[in-house]
Amino acid sequence: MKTEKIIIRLYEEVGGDAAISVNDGDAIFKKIDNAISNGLLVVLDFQNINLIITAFLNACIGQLYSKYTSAQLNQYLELKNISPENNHLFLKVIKRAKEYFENPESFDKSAKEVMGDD
Amino acid sequence: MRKVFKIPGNVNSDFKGYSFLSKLHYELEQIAFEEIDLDFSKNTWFEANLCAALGAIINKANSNFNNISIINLKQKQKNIFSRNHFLAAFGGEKIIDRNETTIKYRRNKLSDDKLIKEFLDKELITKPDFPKLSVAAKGEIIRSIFEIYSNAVIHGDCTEVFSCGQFFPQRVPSCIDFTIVDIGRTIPKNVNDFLKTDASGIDTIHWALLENNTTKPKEKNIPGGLGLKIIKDFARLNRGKIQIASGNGYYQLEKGREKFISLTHPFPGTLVNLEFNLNDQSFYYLLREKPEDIIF
Repeated sequence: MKTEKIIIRLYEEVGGDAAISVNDGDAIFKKIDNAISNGLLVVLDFQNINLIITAFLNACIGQLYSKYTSAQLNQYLELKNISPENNHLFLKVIKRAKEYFENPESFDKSAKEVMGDD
Repeated sequence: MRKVFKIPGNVNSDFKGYSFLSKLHYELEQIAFEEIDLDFSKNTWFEANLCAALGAIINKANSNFNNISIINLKQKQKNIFSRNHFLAAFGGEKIIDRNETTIKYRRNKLSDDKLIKEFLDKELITKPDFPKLSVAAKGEIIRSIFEIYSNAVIHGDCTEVFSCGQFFPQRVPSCIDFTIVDIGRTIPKNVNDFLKTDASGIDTIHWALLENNTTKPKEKNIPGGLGLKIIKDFARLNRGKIQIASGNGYYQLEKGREKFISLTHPFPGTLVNLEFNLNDQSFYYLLREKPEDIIF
C-alpha cells in the first residue's frame, strides 16, 4: 500500500526544542512542498517544541502561500501539538502570509506612503 | 604616544549612554595602528549589559589594527566585568558570579543558534526571580531575545553578534536588561535601500517598527515584518522596555510610551536593549483571545 500521509516531527528536524533557525524553517518548507506536490498529506508535529520565533514560521509556513492556496493547505497540511502560548504566532504568520502573497504591490504602496514618498 | 579616551562618570542604558557609545565609536573609527586606552578613572557606574556595545565597538576599532586597553577600572566595576567575562575577552580575568546577577558577555557566531539557546537557558534559569515567572512570561522573554538575534542574521547581514545581560534585583520592579549588538547593516541603510528613499534614522526606524513592514527581498518569497511588533506587544504586557539604536536613529518604548530621537553620531550597526520586568505573573495567552483553531 502506498504512503498517503507523512509526519514531519519538528523536534527531530530542528535538533531540539527550539524552532529558531530560518534555515531549518526553509528546509522544512521544502519537505512539505515536496510532499504536497506529490499528493501526500503532511502532518507537522510540534510536540516537545518549546520555543518558536516568527522568522522560523515565516520560512516554514508563511512561504507555503507562495505556492499553495488556503484551500490546498487546509486539505493537505495538518498542524499538531501546538501549545496555547504559541497559537497566536501561527495566526499572525498565516494572516500576514495571506496578505503578503495576495497583494504584494499594496505593501510597497503603503510603505512609500508611510515615508511620505508617494 | 598612547591615545586616551575617558569614559564618563555614569553610562546607563538610556539615550545619553547610547549617544556616548556612538560618539566613542565615531572617534575610534578615525584611528588606525595606535595604542588606545579606555580610561575608566572617572567612571563610577557602567551598566553591565552595555558591555555588549562596548565589546562590539572595541572589536570594530581593533579591526583597524589598534590595540585597545581598558584601564583604571574601580574595584566594583572590575569585579562585575570579571564576573560577566567581559574583561576575559580582552586579556583580563574571569571570576565566578556567586551573586548570579550577570548574563555573560558573549561574542556569538550566529551559526551557533542552538548553542546560544542552551547558553541562555542555563544563564537565565539561575537568576533570582526568573524561575518565579509564569511559563508564558519565560517563553516570551526567550522568544523576544531570539527574534532580535534572528533580525541580526536576516537584516544585519552579519555573522556574529555581541550580547550581555544584567539582572537588577534591587530595582522595583526587579528586572533583567539584555543587550544585543550587531555591527552590520543599520536599519536606516536597509530601509532606505529597500524603499529607495533617503529618509532619516527616526523615520526609517518608525517604518521598520510598523507591523508587516519588512526589508526582506520579495524574490525570496518569505514574508516578514512580525518580529519587532510581537516584541513591542510583549514589552507592553510585561511593562518592560525596548531601546533601539541604529545608524542615526534611536527608539525607546517605556511604560507604553514611544520616543524617537536622532543620534548625533551614528551607531555602527544595530543595538537592541530589552528590559524585562521580573515581577510579572501574567499568563499572557489568557489575556489574548481564546486560542483559535488554526485555519489556513
